[in-house]
Amino acid sequence: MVAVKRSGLSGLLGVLLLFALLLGSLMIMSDATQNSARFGRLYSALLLFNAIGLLILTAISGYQLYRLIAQYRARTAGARLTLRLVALFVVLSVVPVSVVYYFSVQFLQRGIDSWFDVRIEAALDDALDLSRASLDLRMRETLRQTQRMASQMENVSPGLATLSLTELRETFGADKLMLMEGAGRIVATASEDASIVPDRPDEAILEQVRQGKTHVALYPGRQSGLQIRVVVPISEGSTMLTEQRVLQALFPVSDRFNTLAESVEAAYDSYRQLAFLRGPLKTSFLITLSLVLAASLLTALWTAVESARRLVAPVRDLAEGTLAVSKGRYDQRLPVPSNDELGFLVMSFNQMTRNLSYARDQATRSQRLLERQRAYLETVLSSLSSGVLTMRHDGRLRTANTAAGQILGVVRDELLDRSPDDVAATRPYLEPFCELIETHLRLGRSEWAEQATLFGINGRQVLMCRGSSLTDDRGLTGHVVVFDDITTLVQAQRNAAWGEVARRMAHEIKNPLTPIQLAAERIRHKYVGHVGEDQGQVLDRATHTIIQQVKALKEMVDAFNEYAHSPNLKLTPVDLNALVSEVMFLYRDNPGSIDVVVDADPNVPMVNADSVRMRQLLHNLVKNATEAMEGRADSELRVRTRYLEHEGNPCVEIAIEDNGPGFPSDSVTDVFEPYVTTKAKGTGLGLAIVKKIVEEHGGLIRAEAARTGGARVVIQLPYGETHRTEDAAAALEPPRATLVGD
Amino acid sequence: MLTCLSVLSAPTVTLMAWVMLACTANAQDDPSVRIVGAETRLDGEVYSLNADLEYALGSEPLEALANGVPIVFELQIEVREPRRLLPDATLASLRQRYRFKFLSLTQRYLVTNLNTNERNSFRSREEALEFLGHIRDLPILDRALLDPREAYLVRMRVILDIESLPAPLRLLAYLSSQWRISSEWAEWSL
Repeated sequence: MVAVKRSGLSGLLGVLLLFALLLGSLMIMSDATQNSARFGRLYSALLLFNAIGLLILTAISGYQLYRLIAQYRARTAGARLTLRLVALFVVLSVVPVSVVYYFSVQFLQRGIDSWFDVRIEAALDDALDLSRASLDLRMRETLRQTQRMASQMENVSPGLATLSLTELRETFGADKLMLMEGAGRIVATASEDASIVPDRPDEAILEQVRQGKTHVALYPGRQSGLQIRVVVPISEGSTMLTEQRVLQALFPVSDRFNTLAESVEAAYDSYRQLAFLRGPLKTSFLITLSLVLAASLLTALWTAVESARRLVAPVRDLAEGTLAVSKGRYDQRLPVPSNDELGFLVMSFNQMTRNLSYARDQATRSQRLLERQRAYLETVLSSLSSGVLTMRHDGRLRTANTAAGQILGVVRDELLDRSPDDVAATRPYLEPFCELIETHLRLGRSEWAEQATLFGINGRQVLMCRGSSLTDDRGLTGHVVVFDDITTLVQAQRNAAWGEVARRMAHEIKNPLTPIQLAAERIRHKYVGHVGEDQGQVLDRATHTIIQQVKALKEMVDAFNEYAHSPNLKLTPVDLNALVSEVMFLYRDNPGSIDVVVDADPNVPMVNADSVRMRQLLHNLVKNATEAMEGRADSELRVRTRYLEHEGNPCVEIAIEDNGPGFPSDSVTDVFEPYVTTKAKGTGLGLAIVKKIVEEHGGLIRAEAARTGGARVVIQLPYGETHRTEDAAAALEPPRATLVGD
Repeated sequence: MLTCLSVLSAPTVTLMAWVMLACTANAQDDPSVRIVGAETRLDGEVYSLNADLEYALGSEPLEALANGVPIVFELQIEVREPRRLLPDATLASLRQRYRFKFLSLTQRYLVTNLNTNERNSFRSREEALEFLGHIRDLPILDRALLDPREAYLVRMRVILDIESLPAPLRLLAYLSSQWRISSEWAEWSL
């Protein structure tokens, strides 16, 4: 900025110096125009200098103006205002200067014209005539004197001529006398200064004199002043001279006459010269005046542009600064131009940008802090194994952590900014989950917890969901739902519970059974022969009953044990259709007159399953059905396999349907729980084991009423890339020891 | 050409110079100054110049003259030594200036040699111009200043000196062909 100021200052000084030089040289030129002795010779050089100076000034001003217009076209900040100010300055300077110029030109024309006056001209003419008249008198006198000399020279022999001439010259006061023959040959001369070259009259004069005329003329001397030349013929008085002779006398004009005549002539010449040069003189003055005008105007223009630029500079800086601030650059610090109002404005602007910059930095720091916290929260959330969803108050999903996507089997972004209904529409298997959330949102409870069961690509999933409303001082802002995949946990808990029951039963029930049986057998053996026949029969029946019942109890406990202690799954690819056909074949030839119909879907693929457990599953189901249909004449068992898409996930379905009495309507949901049975016989574990096997395979099972009125059990086993592997199945085994310890 | 000239005898060269100048001086009506002929002669120990010039003035200078404006003619004479590869070296340079003026009192034309201040007056303009165009025995150079083994060239021209005119007339004179009078350079060997 200092450099800019310095260059601007030097530019200003340069132009002012140029202007001063131009003005000085124009003044000298104006002096020179009047042909002054001092500067007359410099006129052309001055004219050239001024022209070049003006050209430079024009170039500088023109460049400035061009730059200004270019800036105006480019819509540079401040250019418009600068141009307006320049226009104002120029108008302010051009108008008065033009008026002055106009009147100056008028005055110049009239002033120069007024130098010339008819009376002065006449007076000068008269003065010249007067000079001539007075000189004429002198000339006549010299003519008379010369004629007298000529008469005295008559008959003077050439030998004496020089002597006579010298005498006559001294007598009559002539400068020089010369005696010539008519042809022009000099006979004798008499001169004050002998060294002077003979000044012969020219041939025309001689011719005139030869004809008997006299010649008298005034002419400038060889060195200075005026001389009178008189040439007269000498009369032919003597016979010894054959040729006519001529006498020339040169007379000086007195100094006083000379001075006056020169003065008059100089004045006259000067006046005539001035009159002749009137036109060029006017032109010259006009040129000088125009140059002065041009120099003044150009300097004014330059000054106008420069002043306007300086004046506008802070405003332009402010405009640019404001623009920068509006674009978010708060580091603008403008140079303070002066101590005036503009300077105050600029200082205020600087203060403002400082404050803004500080505020922006603060905001950035806070935002960064917030982002760090947010990132930290995100990290925490993403490292959680629980799925976390947050929703806006209108139910649309706002955030979801990685675990949420993983548990629900969707890409996380797919969930964002959508309502649960929307999600359920594209992912039908998520419907129970979404419906659960929707329901609780609708109910508007501040906190809730509930399980949801899904059947997705990963098979059956039990989700434990807990929801909570988010509120602040403004009220409800959203909801958060945290959910865990507790499928394995539930399974494990159940297994643990049943395992504990089985252990207790074995311990508490099965252990006493053997002594009871033994005791009963012992009583029978020991006392049946010692009592009477009637009593013996009673004893036999009673002990028999005890033994039978104990055996039945043992069987029941064993069956339960079997249920509780299911062995590890051995998953192998199993052809379900073949397995079903094989098992059903056993029952087809059974004498129970049951019609077994197998409807196998050829599209059913190989599934990963434990064939032994699956066989058990089928046996249990068939057994359950046959027991239910016991006593019916037209018993029919239908087994159907299907390969289908269950809510977008491929699965294999096995349906077993009988035409028995069907499930009681109040126990359809409980039929798979242990010891829920409507039959007089049975352990009550048949369907429970079936359900357990299905769940071990990650499948779903449901009981429903068949169209024929009988019972219908539908099993869906997942199929796809995500089948449970053996390891996964092993993981299903509950951490028994731990749970038992609890 | 110039070196050839130097071996020729002096009278022959002089004759050739007159002829050449006479050929180049073509008659024209425009205001001009022509060098009709010029020669240098060795007069004792001094080279002197004889030249004949022809002045033809236009109406503007004549009108100015009649109105008392003096006109200065400048005779520029240079003695040069031709050099190979380099431009000619100027050994001597002479400016002979003549002022030509009409005197209103005596109604005569005055020619003043500004170098010697010698004045000659004439009844008519033609006489004065004839006087101006008749240059005889103008000493230009001492022979002692020259190397007799070298060949030298003399060149001459006449111009009307605009800078001697009154200031108001100068700009006009520079712009008018009537005033920009200058003869061609006439060159011959010394």
